[in-house]
Amino acid sequence: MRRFFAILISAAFVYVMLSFITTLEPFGKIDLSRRVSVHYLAKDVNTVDSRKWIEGNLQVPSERRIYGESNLEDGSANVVTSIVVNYRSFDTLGEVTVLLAAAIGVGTILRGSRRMKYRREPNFILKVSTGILLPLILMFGVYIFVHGHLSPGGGFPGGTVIAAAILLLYLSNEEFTLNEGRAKLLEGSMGALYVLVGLIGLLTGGAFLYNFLSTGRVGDLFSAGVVPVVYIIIGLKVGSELSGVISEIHRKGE
Amino acid sequence: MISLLVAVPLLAAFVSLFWKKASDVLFSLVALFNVIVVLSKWFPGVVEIHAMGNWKPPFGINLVLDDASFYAALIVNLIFLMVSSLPVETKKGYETSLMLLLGATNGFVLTGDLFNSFVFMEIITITAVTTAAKRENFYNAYKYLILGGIAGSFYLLATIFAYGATGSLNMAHIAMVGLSGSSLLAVTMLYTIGLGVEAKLFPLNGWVPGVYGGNEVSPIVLGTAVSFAALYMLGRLFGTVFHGSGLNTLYVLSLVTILTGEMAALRESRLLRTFAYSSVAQAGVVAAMISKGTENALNLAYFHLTNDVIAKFVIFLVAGFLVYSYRDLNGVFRKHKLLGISFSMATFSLVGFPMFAGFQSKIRMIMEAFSTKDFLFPAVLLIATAIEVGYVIRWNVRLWFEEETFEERSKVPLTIGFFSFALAILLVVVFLQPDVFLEGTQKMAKALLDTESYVNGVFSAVKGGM
Amino acid sequence: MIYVISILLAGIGIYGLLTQKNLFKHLVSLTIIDTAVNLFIIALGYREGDAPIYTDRVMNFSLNFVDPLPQALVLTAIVIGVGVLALGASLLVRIKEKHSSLDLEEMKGVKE
Repeated sequence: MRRFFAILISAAFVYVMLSFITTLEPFGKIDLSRRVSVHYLAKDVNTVDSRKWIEGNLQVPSERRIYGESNLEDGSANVVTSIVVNYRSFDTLGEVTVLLAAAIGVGTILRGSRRMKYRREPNFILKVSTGILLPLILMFGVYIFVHGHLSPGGGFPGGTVIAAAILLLYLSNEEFTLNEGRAKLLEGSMGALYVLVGLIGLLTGGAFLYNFLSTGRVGDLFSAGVVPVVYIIIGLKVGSELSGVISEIHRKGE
Repeated sequence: MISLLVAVPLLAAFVSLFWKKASDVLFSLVALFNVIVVLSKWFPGVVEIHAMGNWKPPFGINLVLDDASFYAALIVNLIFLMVSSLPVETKKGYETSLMLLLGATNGFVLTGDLFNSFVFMEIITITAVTTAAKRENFYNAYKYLILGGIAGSFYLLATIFAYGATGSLNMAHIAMVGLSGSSLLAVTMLYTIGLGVEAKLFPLNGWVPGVYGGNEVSPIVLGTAVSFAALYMLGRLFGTVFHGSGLNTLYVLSLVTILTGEMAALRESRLLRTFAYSSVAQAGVVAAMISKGTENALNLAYFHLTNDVIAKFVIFLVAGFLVYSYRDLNGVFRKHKLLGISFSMATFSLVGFPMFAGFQSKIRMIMEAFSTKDFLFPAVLLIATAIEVGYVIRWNVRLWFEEETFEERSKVPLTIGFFSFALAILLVVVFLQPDVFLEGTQKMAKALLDTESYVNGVFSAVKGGM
Repeated sequence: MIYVISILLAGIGIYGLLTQKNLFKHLVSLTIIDTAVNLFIIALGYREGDAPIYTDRVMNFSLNFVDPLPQALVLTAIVIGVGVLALGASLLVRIKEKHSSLDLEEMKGVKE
């Protein structure tokens, strides 16, 4: 009886949603010029008149060279990064806060003092290869978030790769425990640093999270103003946060 | 300035992560700072925005302060200021989560961007679940997490449909362009489900009695401030952004919510859970009034919500203290006369007894419904009131007059006694002089329905103003 | 049609939430719904074109790009899903310790 109702509700949901997708544009044939993204791609947000654009009176920006130009309004070659850290940076602050809230929640709910053991000896191959792979994994993670504005990636995947390295340490060595105090110090100070960067923007530019460093040349490593700085902050924060979560899950006892 | 309302609590939460000893002091300071910042912008009257990063809307995210968001931010920050002054044992170990909840609720109320409100709503869900898990209340917190996660997914789907139809995520942009027929139906239905979990609508409110009845701090914070924020967002979305359409489902669901909530409260035998169900029913009343869509209806809805939030704060504060200090609650008010008087005054205001604020809001809502020839809503409201009288009288008799078993009298912390009595007196003042709140909610309702000045205010800022 | 696939996945997730008895499977169903919604969002931004990154092969602005905004939204949504999953898993550990079972039927008697 219960299964019947469950199938009924799921089928009704699927049917209703399928009728809703007819209101969208057909798959693969979206009209980019009607969306805000066209101005994120053209990097000319500051020169567009909002009202005229909404009413549809402005033309699509003309083709022009972006790679290698200097002092555009936003300097990162990866447009997704420029959206995440520059145009919609407040969302990223919220996202960082979500991770923090989840990590605090895990820490408050799980309490324990001793390292939980797996009670079996780790494999010899695992132990040896961890020694070789660990610095490579850490370096790869750092590479991802340092180059966030030039290639896909950024702070969040980079931090996760670093946390994966810590997990590897936990799996291969029964005695290893992360120094929680230092991890929390890194996490808290990086988070506070992100809000401080925003407040410095408030003081120098008049708006919270204003990009106050110069934007440089699109395509260089040192470009895009405050974007690589923020991504480094986020990468270190996420790495230490997820490592803290992994170490809390490995605790046992009161 | 208004970005500080969100940034400062976040900064304090990050700092308290490694400086744990200072978390209590930080919480009180931050709540006080927030209240001062909000009060410095008393009812702005015009629409002010703060464009994040100086990117003009609709390309950047903007915070909006108009009369409606001012009123909501004022209530939320005042409640958190009171919570931060409660004794330490109430919130020990949870101050960081409460600071994050404060920042996130402020962000949720002030934002002018749909995806940003989704992110803040998820922060609220996660920190609320952490707060709900106090006193080993794990299973109910888990139910809340699952339902909150589903609500977040539906909210995100609604935002994406709005993006697909208009090409932007900004509330003012969508209000100006307007959604048409079928996409409007899709978006409003998804938003009703998405906000329905937090706004306690039927059938998504199964989490309420477990979460509110589980410990002493979660109903004080979640049942008052977060509920107010969720119902404010309901008014903002359906009033300003969607121009008052798509409200029929909401009306029907809220009427069902009122009746099922009151009947469940009648059958309940534990104190905190009874008034948790009462919160469900009152949220239904407010949602029903919001779904009528006229300025007077919105005005009365938020007036009723303000009265309810104050009464519930007193009820949950007193009940939370008593339930966890005594094993047997019979006749316990004879040991604590001040708490008992405040509690009884608050419950009578809930029912709508003359002499208290609830009477003013209920009588005006019934008159408003009659003047628009709607007889269903007053009928449901009167049935609900009759049921409320039943369990309120029953609880008051039990707490005042029953034979008490002998237990040591616990000392009442000063702040609990002070707040409960002061707010109860406020309820009487509001009965005598309802304009104290009505002026504010009148401005709020006007701002919620005035799409034109909202859009003008958001788009006329040439450079991101303060 | 990716839209249809993601909606079917979400339907499966809802079915799982309504019928499964083990609490952990509820968490898995929630993750399925999250994944389905993320898939839906990315599909909304697809068109024939290049990835939205300026390199020395794609130097100019043109309309021949995939929409970058849904990708930025999904970045945030995935992280939020991870946060919810971590919190849910830690709650499950404590529920198992306290009630010594993760079965929904045995939880119905819990009046706490």
